[in-house]
Amino acid sequence: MSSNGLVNCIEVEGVTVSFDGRTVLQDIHWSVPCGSAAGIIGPNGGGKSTLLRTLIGTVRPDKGTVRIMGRTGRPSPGLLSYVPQNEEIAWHFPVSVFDVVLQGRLGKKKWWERISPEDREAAMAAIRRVRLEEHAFRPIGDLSGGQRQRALLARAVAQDAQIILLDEPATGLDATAQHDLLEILDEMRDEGKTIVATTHDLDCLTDHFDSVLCLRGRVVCQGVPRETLTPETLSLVFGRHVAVFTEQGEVTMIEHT
Amino acid sequence: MEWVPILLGDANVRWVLAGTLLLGISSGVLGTFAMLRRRSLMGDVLAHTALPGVAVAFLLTQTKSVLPLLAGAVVAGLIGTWCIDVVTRNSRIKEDTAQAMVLSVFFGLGIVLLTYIAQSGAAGQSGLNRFLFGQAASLVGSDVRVIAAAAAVLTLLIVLFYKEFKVLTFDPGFGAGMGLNIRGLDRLLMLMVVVGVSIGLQAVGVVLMAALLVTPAAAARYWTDRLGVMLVLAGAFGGLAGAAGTVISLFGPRLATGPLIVLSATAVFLASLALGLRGGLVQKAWRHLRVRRRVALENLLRTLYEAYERAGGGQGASRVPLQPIPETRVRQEGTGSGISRGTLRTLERRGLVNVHRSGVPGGERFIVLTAQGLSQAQAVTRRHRLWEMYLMYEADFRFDHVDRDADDIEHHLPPEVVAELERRWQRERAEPAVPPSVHPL
Repeated sequence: MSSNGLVNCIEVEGVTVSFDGRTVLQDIHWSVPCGSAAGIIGPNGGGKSTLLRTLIGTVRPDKGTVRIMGRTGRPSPGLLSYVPQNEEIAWHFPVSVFDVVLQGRLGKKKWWERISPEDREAAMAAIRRVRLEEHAFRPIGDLSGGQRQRALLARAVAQDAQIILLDEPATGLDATAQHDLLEILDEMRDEGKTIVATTHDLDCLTDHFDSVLCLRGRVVCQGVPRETLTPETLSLVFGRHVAVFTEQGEVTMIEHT
Repeated sequence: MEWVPILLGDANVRWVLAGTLLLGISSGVLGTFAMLRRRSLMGDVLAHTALPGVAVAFLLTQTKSVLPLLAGAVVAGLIGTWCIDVVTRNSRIKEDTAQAMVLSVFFGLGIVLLTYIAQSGAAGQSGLNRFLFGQAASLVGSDVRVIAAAAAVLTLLIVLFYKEFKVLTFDPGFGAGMGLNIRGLDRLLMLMVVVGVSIGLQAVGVVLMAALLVTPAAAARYWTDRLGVMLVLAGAFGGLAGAAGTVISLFGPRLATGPLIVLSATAVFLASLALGLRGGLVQKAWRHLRVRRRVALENLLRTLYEAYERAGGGQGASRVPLQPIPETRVRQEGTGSGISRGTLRTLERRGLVNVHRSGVPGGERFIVLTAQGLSQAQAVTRRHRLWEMYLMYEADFRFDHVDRDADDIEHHLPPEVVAELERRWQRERAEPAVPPSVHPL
């Protein structure tokens, strides 16, 4: 429960989204308790990213309501931090890591307000938090995949957002970088932030997420990962081209070629 | 320099020069964001769609004064953008195709209208053709005042919304999540590009205006990794190109200004591409050359060390005196691209080897490592072999591939990686030891 007595920081009720007459999400009912971490899984095109974009308000649902911290409509400035998929960001942009993190401070500012020394301090603190201080003034494009993701997390930290939405943050990272990323997410959740991440990595769900939502255009399953991710539900989510093995609660997925 | 007072003494020339200078600056600044937002082509589309707007404005007002024509250009540009939007949203046609279609249809319409005006013999119609390729010399005081005002407003807006435009162009999704009005900002930027292109039509022309928007920005990217610096540089490059093109045009045999401005901008771009400090060609070539030189030096040192090992020296052995080795043998056993005279001379100059020349002219030369050279050769060889072992045992490289691939990367291994490799094989000893080679030498 958050400080203002809310139970669920995100509430999605009966949301339906369609593009060009094609229904992408159908009648989604879902909620995320404040201070918890929720994972979203599902096949490509299953509507994971669309659901996140509905939360930030760039996609408007045809039907249904989205409540962020109990309120509908455009989320109040600085409340949400969205970390898009890797390929949506212009990595060769001429900015330093510090510049990127500083962008997080814009959320609560009016456009005429300038960057203050406090903003710079907050940005630097966020950079130290994700252990990127050595790279703070390097161009963002020079960083490795894991460092880039950490820089984007630092931006969310600098923003002091209550809810952090990540679209496939672990994709393309090696095992060590994934581990570092998940560790920081764990810490942020323990500080009371609400985390939502889409992922393809089923292994990390049981250890790092409190709940999981399986999307395939509609909700196929949701609940506590260990109980929800059974071979039966997973083959429902991913279709028949997938073999599922469980070993002491561990879930592994192998795609047939 | 006697032409300077002649040039600036003429009030008309001063106006023209001021106009193209300001135009270049605002185009460069605006073009930076257009390029970073991947809207470079949009500039070209907007310039071409403006032509029928200019023609219609002339038909309606029967004047060539700048404000109505500018308004016509802006309105036509906005209609063009709207058309692209409608086509992409309501059909299966993708954005680039829609842009190409709108560009050519509007341009075609513009040409038809211009031809009609020319044949109608309307009073004062002569000179509308300047909108095709630009004629800065036709700018008069009132034109320049409008251009200057518009350029100033555009530049001011960029300064005011600098932070927001930065987020819009770097990561619009994040901006939207944070509560920024991304859609509104995107529209504002597009409107600014429309205006920025429209004020340049008379001086640069619809055909080439896009180049003045994009080329200075592209050139500026070769000099900096900071957006603020890039904006200033792009503005400076644009202004320089505008002024230079105008001066050449005024002195040349009545050449159209547009192409000259664009060629000046291109000259700045080519110079930046070659000399730029952020990925310019000269810098890249210099770095490449330095790496190649270092690789050659290290390979020669390793060859000498391996010869020393064969003579019984090296790890664990008691001190074996260093033997001079004939140069021809070093060449035969050498790694990589062989040894150049330069490589050998560099090692000699650094005191790492001594070269003994036999008395006979053209006779055999003998190379021997100095004490300092031996310790460096040892370090180089150790690094090479640690890396080979890593590739074989950890990265599962095939045994016969190991030597060649180790060659590529070992020269770039940072010290902390070498330390980590050493830790893995527990070869940390007081003295730097060299593990045996994993393959027959």
